[in-house]
Amino acid sequence: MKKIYTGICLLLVAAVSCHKESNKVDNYSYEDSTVFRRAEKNFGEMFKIVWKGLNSNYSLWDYEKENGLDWDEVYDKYYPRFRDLDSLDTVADEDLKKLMEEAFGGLHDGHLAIQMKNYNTGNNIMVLPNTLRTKAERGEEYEIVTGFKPNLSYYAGIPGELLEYKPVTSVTDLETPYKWVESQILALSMKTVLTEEELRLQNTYIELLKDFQDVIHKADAESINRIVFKYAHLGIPGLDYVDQALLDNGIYVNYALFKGNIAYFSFSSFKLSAFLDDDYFKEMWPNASQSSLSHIAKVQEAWNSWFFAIQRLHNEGTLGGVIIDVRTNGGGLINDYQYVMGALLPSGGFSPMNSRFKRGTGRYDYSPVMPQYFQTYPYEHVTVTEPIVVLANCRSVSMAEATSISTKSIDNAVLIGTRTFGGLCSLTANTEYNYNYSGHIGIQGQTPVYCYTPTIASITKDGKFLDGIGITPDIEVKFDNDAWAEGTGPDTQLDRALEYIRTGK
Amino acid sequence: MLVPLGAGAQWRAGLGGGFSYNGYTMDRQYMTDYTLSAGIGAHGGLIGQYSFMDWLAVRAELDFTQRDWGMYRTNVRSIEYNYINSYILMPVMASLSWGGPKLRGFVNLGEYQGYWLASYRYGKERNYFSSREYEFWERVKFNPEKDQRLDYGFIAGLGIEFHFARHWAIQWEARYWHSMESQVKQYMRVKDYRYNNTFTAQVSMFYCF
Repeated sequence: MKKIYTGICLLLVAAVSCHKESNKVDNYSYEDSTVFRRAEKNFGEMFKIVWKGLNSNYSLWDYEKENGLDWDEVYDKYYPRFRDLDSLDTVADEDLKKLMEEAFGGLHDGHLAIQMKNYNTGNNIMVLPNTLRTKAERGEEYEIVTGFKPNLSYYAGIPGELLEYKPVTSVTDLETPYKWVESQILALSMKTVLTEEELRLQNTYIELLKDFQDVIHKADAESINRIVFKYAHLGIPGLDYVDQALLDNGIYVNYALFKGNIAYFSFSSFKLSAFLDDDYFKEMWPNASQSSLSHIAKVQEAWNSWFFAIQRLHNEGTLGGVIIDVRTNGGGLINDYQYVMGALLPSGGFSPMNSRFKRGTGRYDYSPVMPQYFQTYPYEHVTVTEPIVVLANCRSVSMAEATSISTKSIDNAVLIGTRTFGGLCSLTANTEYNYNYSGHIGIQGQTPVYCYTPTIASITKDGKFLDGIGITPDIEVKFDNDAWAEGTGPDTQLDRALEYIRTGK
Repeated sequence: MLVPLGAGAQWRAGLGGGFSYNGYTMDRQYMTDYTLSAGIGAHGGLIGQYSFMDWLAVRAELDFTQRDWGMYRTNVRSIEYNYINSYILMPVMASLSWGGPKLRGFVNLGEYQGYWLASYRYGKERNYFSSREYEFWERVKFNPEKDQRLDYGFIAGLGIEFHFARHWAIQWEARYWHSMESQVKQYMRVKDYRYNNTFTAQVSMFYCF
């Protein structure tokens, strides 16, 4: 009897001790030499980090499955191909990029960016899956609107169309000195005989224009300031010292009050908090130069004019409507919501969509779906009951889409333009990784692999994922690039917004 | 537990009830402040037993058992999850007993099959982007790709029985249910095993035929 009991007990102990062990999952958030060292000169290991990191950190796996993407199949198919790159003498950046696009191009998150360092060339190669998709799907529209900046010059030229107009069209304002130098060269070229001094000056101006052309599209304060110092002796108007903060934080803004008291506001990026919120201001402009302070004042004035025109006209009962133009706006700070759509809504926050966090290392470990609230303007202000139009296009991304999707939950708001980009899932900075245990993989510029990965999945109020799809406008209007003619002609989408507000349809 | 009641006493039927105390095991990997906590739930069911000998019987049950557990973050107080998982468990055990006709001790050893009926979760979350806490109570929709609803494992119980009338007996038993099936299917290349380990304490009333 005793032997039977002993035997049974031993069997039981043997049975209970055989739980299977999980595979080890690394934390790819930080520069961890033990994790990333293997990948420094090994494409196969780089692929593994991307694959495993996204497996744990990416928030849309169920949605990807619905779209037919099998992440395990991606491993089986592409790990050998990345590993094979390591046996080659050299790998061209184009070849690596092509393989990355093939392997990761099926992912739908609109913010996701995957970067690998080509150890053969030393270059970081980045792929943006949803940009590939949007470019392919939207074709010509994507190309046309890529460099689009709202420009109301045409309307300013129509007598009585604009009652007020405050554009902030240049961040570094290199256009002013550029045009001034051009005019000086022209003036000198009109002269039949040039003195030796004038000839030298003309050559200097021509050299300056070449230098301008090299830096005018660079967001690089050092390059611009090199020109500023080099040509300081010429006393060129507007050629002032810039600081990097201006290049990083500067935005283009347009405020206009159209005929019929329609308050229009456009801005190139959701960075208004840097201009309007004290905390962000201190953080983002630590040592503002004169150029920065001048730019800050212009942006503040434009926003204040828009906001206070709405307050005044609404209280007078003469506000015709509001247009928020987020076309070719790549998004930015969530805090900005209060200064745009949130400035038209009651205080206390607004939830235009839901969100779900990625929680845990398993592919399907998610938080409950919860309402995602955006902060609305917290101080006393009017709630706009007049028509609100949001203008968007296929380059409206992230916060521009949060603004766009808000129209679906606001009775007096409509979305006009074309379908947005499809990048609604938000993300936090890498430093917040341990809060959410999801998001970024690696550190940009430090680790051989870096993934800019959202922390949450954004979900519409009726339960749909829109990443990789975008928000469909209530009134679809294509942008007529020929008619617009670089801002010298009418803007078909803006015209439709004005028509909607003026006619109600 | 088996008293010599003659041939007719070989069968008995009973009804039991009590509580469960369930722990959940998983590899937390790098989530160092992710803390698992055991949960207490209801447990009870129907019991049938057939005795072969004075000291040996076979016993089968049909139980409803809640295998609850929780998770909280030590660094982020605003995140807390509590799961209520309802299972139908069908154990088959050998029941080995000793003692006198009135008071007997017993050991139950065997295996069980189970089916995960439903899952609910409640708790609180913090939406980082909204800077708001969110309280939830929701039914968890099963994901057939991920959730393993079938379960099996081993059980071991220890108890005493008091035979207080000719046909009636009462038992107190503490039992451990060791699940051998991960509650998560191996749906991805990265293997991830998560198990329930459950203690139950129950009082059972028997009618001995």
